[in-house]
Amino acid sequence: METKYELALNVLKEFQKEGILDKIVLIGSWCIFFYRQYFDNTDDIHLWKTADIDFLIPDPRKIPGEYNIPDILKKFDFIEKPASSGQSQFVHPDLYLEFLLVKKGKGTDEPVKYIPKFHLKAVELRYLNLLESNIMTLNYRGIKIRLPEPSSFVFHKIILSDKRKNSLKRDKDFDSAIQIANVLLKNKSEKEKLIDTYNSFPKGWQKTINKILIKNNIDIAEWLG
Amino acid sequence: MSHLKDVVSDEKQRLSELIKFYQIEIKKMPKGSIRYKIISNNKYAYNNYRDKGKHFTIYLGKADSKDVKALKEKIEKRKKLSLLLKKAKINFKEVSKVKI
Repeated sequence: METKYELALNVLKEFQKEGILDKIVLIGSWCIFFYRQYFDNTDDIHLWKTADIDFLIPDPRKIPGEYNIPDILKKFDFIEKPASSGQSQFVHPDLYLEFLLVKKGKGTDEPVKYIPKFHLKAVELRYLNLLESNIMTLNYRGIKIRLPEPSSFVFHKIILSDKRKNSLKRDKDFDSAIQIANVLLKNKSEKEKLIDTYNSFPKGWQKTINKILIKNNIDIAEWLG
Repeated sequence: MSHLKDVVSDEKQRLSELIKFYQIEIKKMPKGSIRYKIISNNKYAYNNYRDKGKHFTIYLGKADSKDVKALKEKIEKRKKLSLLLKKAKINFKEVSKVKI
């Protein structure tokens, strides 16, 4: 586990040094590790340092300059291996990295896009705009990491949990969302952010979230107090 | 506990696919190592390798030629991939020890 952690931090440090880190957003389960640090290393957030690190590229057209990410990752023995759907996967015995894009509207027939400014292929996924619209920057050991606000992360995981076919993954997504939400609800300003985030969603999304919560015996009005 | 089961199962699958990937990549790379001989002040390269128990030495040409440099790079890549394969196998063994 330690190797995984050290390697992840070294990659983040290198991305910062090369001017890439402020152009991408860390999403996925590694956010939970950083949220735990953000909330004073609370035991209420359980750590699952999984091997996959996902980065969101908010708007590839707005990236200033050009960065050869595959070359940078080669220094850490990552090898670019195309995934079955065609996007670049950077593999290593301890970690693997993927880059994602927001799927807007109905999306396109070809969800895998080449990002010339990063020299890699990223894949478009739905609901990532939920994370993209609400970003925070966390300073962890001198590394300035951009992450979705925990409130956005919570609702994204709730929605995602319902899309999962695998029941283990569904429970893991839902539980991690609730775990973080419960930490947010203990803090006045974070609770307000959680409520504001929910209220900022279109009615359709709110309805979806309510339905998922009800399925899990949670009443939204009671939950958000 | 089910969360741990999911993490372990994902990791086992990922490592098993990674091991196969490294094995395929290694097969694409040339075997052996490069040895040099100096003859009449000129440095020449030879590829030494073993195949089915037999030892082979193939003359490659002048040490500074493009072909030799390219082969050297590929042999180094093979060595690096072999180390990564070893690490992936160790990780797989570790993950397989986790009893849920």
